[in-house]
Amino acid sequence: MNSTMSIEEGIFAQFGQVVGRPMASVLQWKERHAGRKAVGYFSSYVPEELLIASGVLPVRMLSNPDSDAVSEADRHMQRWACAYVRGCFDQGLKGYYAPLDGVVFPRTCESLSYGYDVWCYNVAIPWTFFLAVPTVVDTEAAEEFFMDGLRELLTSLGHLTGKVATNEDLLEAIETCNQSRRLLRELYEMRRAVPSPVAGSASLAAVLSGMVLPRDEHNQLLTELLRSLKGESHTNDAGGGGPRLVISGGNLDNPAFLRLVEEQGAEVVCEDISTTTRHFWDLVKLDNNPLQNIARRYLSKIPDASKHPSDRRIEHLMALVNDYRADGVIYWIRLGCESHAIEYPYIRDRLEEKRIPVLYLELEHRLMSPRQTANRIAAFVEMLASEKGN
Amino acid sequence: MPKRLESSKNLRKLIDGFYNDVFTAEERGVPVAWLTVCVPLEVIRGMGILPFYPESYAAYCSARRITEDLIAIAEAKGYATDLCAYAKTTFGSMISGKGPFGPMPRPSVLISSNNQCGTVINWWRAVGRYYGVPCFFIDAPRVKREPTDSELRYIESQLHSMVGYLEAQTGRKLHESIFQEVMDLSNQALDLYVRILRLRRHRPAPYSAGDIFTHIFPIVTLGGTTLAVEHFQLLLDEIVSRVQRSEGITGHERFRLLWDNIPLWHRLDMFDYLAEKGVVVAADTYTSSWEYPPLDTKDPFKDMARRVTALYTNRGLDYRIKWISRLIEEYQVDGLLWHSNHSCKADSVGQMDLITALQQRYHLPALLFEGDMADLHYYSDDQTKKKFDAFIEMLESRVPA
Repeated sequence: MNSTMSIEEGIFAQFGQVVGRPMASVLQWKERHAGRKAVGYFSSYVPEELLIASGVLPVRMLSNPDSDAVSEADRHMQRWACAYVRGCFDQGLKGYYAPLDGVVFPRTCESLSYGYDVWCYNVAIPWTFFLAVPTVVDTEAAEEFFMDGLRELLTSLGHLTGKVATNEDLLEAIETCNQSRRLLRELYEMRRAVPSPVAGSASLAAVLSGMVLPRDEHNQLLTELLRSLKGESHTNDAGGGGPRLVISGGNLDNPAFLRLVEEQGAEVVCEDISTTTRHFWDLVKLDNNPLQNIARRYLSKIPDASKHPSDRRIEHLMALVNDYRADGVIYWIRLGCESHAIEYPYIRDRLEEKRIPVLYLELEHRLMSPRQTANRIAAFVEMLASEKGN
Repeated sequence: MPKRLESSKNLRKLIDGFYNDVFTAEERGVPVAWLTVCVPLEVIRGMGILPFYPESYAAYCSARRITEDLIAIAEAKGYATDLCAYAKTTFGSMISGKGPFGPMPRPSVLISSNNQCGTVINWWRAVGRYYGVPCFFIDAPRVKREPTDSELRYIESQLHSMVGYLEAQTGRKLHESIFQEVMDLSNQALDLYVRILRLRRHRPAPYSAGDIFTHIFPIVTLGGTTLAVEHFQLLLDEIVSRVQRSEGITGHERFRLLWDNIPLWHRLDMFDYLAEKGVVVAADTYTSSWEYPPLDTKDPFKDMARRVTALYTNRGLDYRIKWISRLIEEYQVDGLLWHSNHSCKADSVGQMDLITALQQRYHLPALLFEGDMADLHYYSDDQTKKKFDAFIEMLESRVPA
């Protein structure tokens, strides 16, 4: 850490380094914890608690920030499958995820659900698990069914690691993850301020790094970060005073995406995406029924578009726009993401009823045309700025 | 040009009758249920509710090549270009009131299941918001090999809840005697349909893929009615007599292909193009998706749950390889003609690995070509014909001199 950096700058820089090279971070962890396993997971519907309780390092499947154009995946998966899933698959074929000992695929969107077999047939990662997450999330039958799936996952993890998680292990994991959620909520609360003291890109790095580092280590860094942020004034890296934007959509897994927005003169003040608030917003209840409480939390959390009902997600977005005093929303989804794409007209209409302008963007596995995207964002920001000035 | 089936005239009447019934149902006070094609129809008909299938409707629009305007209306509303063309066709009709039969029939009930894809969940939800009607979803776990007890219990419990939803939405009850009668008729039609499919094992194939893709209509939409039973009996009789006369659809059947995926509804005449060159599509994964065993009328909900899991798109690649292998062997297939359907990830993702696995097993030539079941933006006649021609040349080159 650069000695001239403030503490929070140093911690954000650490987060950025982890997110810039997540697999290097996984390898370092495995060197420090010889014999233990690191397991990747897609989506915010895979309970990290089960992985942690089984002695595993949970690693969110983030796209390779240095990835080249998709090439190998074209031999197995059509170009119009979800760009994120296809991009990860391409990197899987190229060996990028080799440090992982396994991957959990949840039943969520089409590309993940149908891509699971394609992955298993072609990517040389020894252990995979398809977690049957219900699509309809608000019935007793769904909860019962999901718990069957979670028990299966625990059993399979037990075979992988040789450690069968106990209730006590689950309770401890819940406490760790809940602590993470509370700390991230604190960080996000700070972003309500005008101007926000934390850049969106830095905040995203803070959240994403927690999906790569061990949660307890990350919690310590977050605690230190928050202490430092509250201890002195902080100016927004993006310049402050620009239009305030909420990002809504699927997953954004690279702070570079939000930096691009900030470089056009806007502040990203919050996100309704599966890699930030939809991932950490809700706590797991802590009592003597840990597995049931985990099931309930993951089914009742702010839903992705592939789940039903989805009203809570819409209300969450509207609340963020209100609470964070947003001037506009960027609806940013992956190319080939059918579930978030179909939701767009309804969400746009709801926002426009509140006189909140919306910019719709589609994203490949990485920023393929950064200049074009920047131009579109710049035009949107300029329009918002002139409306704000009026 | 292959000789068309006489029974197609009756099919025309059934289609016209079906849409007339559904599009005038509101005037007659009959509730209409918008369903995906794999929702258990017997319960719906058992309660005197008329089913309507937006997917079949979109296929109909595609066959008449009128989807372009409807899709453009949906895209102007903000629906992405990559979305399912069936969904966009429906949205276009809903928003504009335009379509071959006039404004869309207002739903009293909306039921879909993700056993066929995830898009139908969001699609039906969008329809529900538009009409102010709550949706009911049959959440079908994706089956790895055979369905587990937990999976079947989960689905069965939902099917019972579905009855409650239907009662609440329509005020109608499921009467046991009508339900039994509907199930018996459904089983009869299914038996006839399966026998018709199996007649394609004969050489020469007695009917074309274009024929069966259209004659699937009654099994999808009219299950549980005497109309479906009568039509399939008519069709079966006609095909049996063709088999007895060894009458094929082409003067000289040279190659038999297996088609994968939903067809190009707007270009069903491509099968005639192939037939004129002595090539027939003798088997396909789409029509065989309705090859169910009969419903156990004594324990129908358990059986319906099993059927929900059995759908082709709800199964993994291992199962699909087994399914397709059976078709290859039973229907004496010489090559694979596969449609990479831009509108359907459920049917299309995994095709490349399926082809690899099947080629390793059977050493069959394969053509995977790009298209779309209903969106003409993703289809080119000229390019497709060139690919078909090249594929036929390849088949010919494999025939010993």
